[in-house]
Amino acid sequence: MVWTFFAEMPNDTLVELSRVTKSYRAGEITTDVLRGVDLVLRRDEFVVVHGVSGCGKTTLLNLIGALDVPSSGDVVVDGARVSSMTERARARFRAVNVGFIFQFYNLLPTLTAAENVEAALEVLPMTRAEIQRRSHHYLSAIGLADKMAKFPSQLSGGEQQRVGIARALAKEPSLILADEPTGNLDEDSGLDVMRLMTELRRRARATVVVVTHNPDLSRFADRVLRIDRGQIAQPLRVAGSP
Amino acid sequence: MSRLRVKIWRDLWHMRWRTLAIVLTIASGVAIYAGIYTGLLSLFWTRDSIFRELHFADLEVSFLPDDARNLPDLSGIRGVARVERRLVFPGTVRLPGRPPLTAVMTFLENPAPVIHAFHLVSGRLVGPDELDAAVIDIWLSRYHGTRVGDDIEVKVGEATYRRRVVGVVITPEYFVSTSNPAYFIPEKGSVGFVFTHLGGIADTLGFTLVNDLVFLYDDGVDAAAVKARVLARLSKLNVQEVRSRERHFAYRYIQSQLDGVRAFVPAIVLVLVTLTAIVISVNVGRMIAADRPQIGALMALGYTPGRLLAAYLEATLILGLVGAGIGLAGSILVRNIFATVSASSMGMPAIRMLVDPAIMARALALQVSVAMVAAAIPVLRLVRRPPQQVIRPARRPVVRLRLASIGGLAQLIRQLPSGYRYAVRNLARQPFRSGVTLASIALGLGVATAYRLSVGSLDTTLSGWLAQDKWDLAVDFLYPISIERIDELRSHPSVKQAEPYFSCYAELRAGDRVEDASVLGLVPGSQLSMLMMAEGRRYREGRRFRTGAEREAVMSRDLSKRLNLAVGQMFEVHTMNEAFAVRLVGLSWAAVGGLTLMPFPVAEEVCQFPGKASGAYVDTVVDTDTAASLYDLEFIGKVLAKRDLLTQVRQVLSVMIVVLNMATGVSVFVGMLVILTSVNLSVLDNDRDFATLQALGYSRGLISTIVLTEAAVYALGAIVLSIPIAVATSIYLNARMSAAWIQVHSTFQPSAFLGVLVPALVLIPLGCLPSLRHVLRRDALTSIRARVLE
Repeated sequence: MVWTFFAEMPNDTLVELSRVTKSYRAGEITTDVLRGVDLVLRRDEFVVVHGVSGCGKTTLLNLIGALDVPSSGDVVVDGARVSSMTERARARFRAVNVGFIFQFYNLLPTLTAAENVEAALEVLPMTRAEIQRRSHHYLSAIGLADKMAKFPSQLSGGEQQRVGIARALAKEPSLILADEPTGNLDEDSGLDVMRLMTELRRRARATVVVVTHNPDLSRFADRVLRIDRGQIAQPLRVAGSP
Repeated sequence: MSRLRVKIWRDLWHMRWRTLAIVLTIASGVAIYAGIYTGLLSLFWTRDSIFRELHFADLEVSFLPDDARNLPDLSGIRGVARVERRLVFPGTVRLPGRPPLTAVMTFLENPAPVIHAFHLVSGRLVGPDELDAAVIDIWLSRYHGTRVGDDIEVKVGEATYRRRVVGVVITPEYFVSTSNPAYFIPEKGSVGFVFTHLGGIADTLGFTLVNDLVFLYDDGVDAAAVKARVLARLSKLNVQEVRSRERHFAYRYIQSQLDGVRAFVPAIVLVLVTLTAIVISVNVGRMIAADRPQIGALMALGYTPGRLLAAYLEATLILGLVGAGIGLAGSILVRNIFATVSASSMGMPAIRMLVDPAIMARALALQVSVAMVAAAIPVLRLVRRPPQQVIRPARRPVVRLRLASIGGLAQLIRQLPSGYRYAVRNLARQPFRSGVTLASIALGLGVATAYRLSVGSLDTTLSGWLAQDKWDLAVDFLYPISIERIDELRSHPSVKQAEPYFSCYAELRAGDRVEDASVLGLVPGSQLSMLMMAEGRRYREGRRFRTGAEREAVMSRDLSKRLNLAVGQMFEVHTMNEAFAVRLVGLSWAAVGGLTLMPFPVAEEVCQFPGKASGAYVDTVVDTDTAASLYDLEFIGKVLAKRDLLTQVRQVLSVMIVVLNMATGVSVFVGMLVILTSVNLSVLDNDRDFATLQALGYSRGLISTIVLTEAAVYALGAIVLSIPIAVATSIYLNARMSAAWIQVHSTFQPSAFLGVLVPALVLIPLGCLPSLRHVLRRDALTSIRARVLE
């Protein structure tokens, strides 16, 4: 068993946050980052989250991805109440259900592109052959078939982020979380990465949540959320989304 | 192999010099621990195996010479396997062109004795009917050049015995020897031992004269009970001395030497292991800290804390085993050096090396455990945090120091040229990181200096020992002479003053404890021997003895411990079937092991030689020629010059010095590793900052100034910090030496500090050159991008 707590959810709901707050304490000072957030994310949805620096969007991502626990409230992902899990259980949950894409790529510098993807799969009950197959498949899908044996230091920024995307997708998770995935890329590379993510997401039928400063990326989203002073502001609709 | 494992091993290869430093530090700790302990074991084993093979006597009884027919029947004593009869006399050997040499002539009933058997070095043993042949001990041959085929003359009293040397032997009885039991110092080659056939005497006298019996016990018997049975059988003899194996000088001396080292070595090992533990912890901790974002990424990918910890521990275990393997190989070298030098200083002619898997396993387990704990702690600290905290690079805590309050320091720093200012400010605002680097370098330097200080303290103590004594020569007589004959000594033209002393064997009893000891009677108010005259530092406890109504004595600390005697308590001195009550009034560190000091009149009384002296302290005008000319007096047995005694004492303590020098070598080596890794790590940690500075327009020269200034600050700071570390560690080591051997007074000679710290002043800045070269060669943009890429 990966998760220990189940919640009843409508079939198309993947993520549900109920009155979630998150505060950080540094010495005498307590900072309320999220204040009573309610949010529902549907399956197969592409959500972009905007907000100024320090508004809590990365914190929101961390809570959804079970990287952190709320100070209060519930976070339920695919029926599992991750906010109540132990760290060990959350790790297992992340391994199976969540793919992360980081702003600074967070590739392991002494592993090749292929090995970086394989490292993410080795925490799953999978044969060696299956691990290698998926690694090759997804790296090829993102156009890096000829660079599987390269180390991160031998790849451009855009290529490294593609490896990060392949690493996230190779698990075939139900949820993909991207924190400023284009933050360190030039405009063209950034757009390429977003197109790639959109295309692959559709094939994988995963829910994608992207946190970004860049308003141009909103056009890729089914829904755009804005966080303001620790709360979700009125969500913006995007053409074509329900 | 899992990708996590691949990543860790490739990381280690990427940081291979740092990895090598850790491996070599582990190896050093293992080498010293296993090497010294197996060396010690080898020394004990050599002594025990040789003594066993050559049947070292369990008991020796010396008595006034008597016809062998008058001896009681020695057969059938329960527990005694064998007994041999001998005639043993002190004498002198005439060596061509040299002063006479103190000698012991032993006449053997069996020229190939079973007890105290001979190990033939060259030539052959004396034949059963050869009355004019002799074998000599190896030291007589080695130090005085007497060889097989030479003729030798031994003067015993008025008689002179001429023999032809047919063989050179090693005998356990004289493995090490001394002519002056008051100082418990072996003097290799200072006594010549000659063995010949008892038949030669019997022929002359018409009967067999004996004065010495040696006994070998059966295995597993109660030695005290057998000794009692033997002495009961010999009760009618005029017994002069009874010496059990443990009280025999050769046995006792080696035992006390090895016990001393065994008590002292843990201190050495503790200090070195602590040093290696800290060095490993700092290096491993920094490596894991550098790996932090990657550990965070792995946690985000779903790697559990347990899996991550296991992976790092596995890698550390393997590195630890590699280091331990190198260390075990090195321990053989350490063992050989330590055991060989120690054996030589103790006078053991041969050393048999031993390998003890248990000791090696302990050394391995200790160092590997230290390394694994050093890895586990920083990993655990990371993986217990939320992953998103770990992913982000640790913010370097920057502290703004209020330097304005420290005189004009802030003003001074502001006035420095930019390169120096940047360096000093950078160090000051990261106190934790700077402090850790400084402390690790200071520790390496401090420990190395501490060992040098301890060697210096030992040397100064030895030089000071006896310095207050005014005598130049300690003269032992062949036999006790009347006090009046001391005037013959005083009338010698080179003698300014002579004071008699009396030395004899006695059995001391306190409660149910019995110990054999040497008694030394000194003239109260002596002008020459300060052995008893000084209060304070010479004494652990109590005071000097005085003459009065009660018999008083001062004894060595080890003897009081064996008798379980405290200052103020009474004990009994037993000699020749008489018992004398004596009060213990003081413990002297200056008195060597097994020695009891008392006023001359009391010694005369208990030794039962009233009006006699067995030796004299002599103050001379010029001692060199005097020593030789004193042998013209027929009662002179042995002349010991004070400077020769000090030389021999130094040689005796060379075992300690060997251990200290080896420890110094290892700590200097580890210290160098600390310096090189710490300084280079510190530079590489700031690699991106330097790249940013370059991008801002700082020249390579200015960058170099910053790096070298940081290194210089580390050098000076570490040197200053190392001084109290060195002093404290040296005091600790000296205290351990004092508990194990003689009281060592801590001295802090500048040369000990300079010998380590001056090279460090040069080495530290030089040590940062590899990383500086790396920083200057690297493209600035590449360094800056690396922040992003990694």
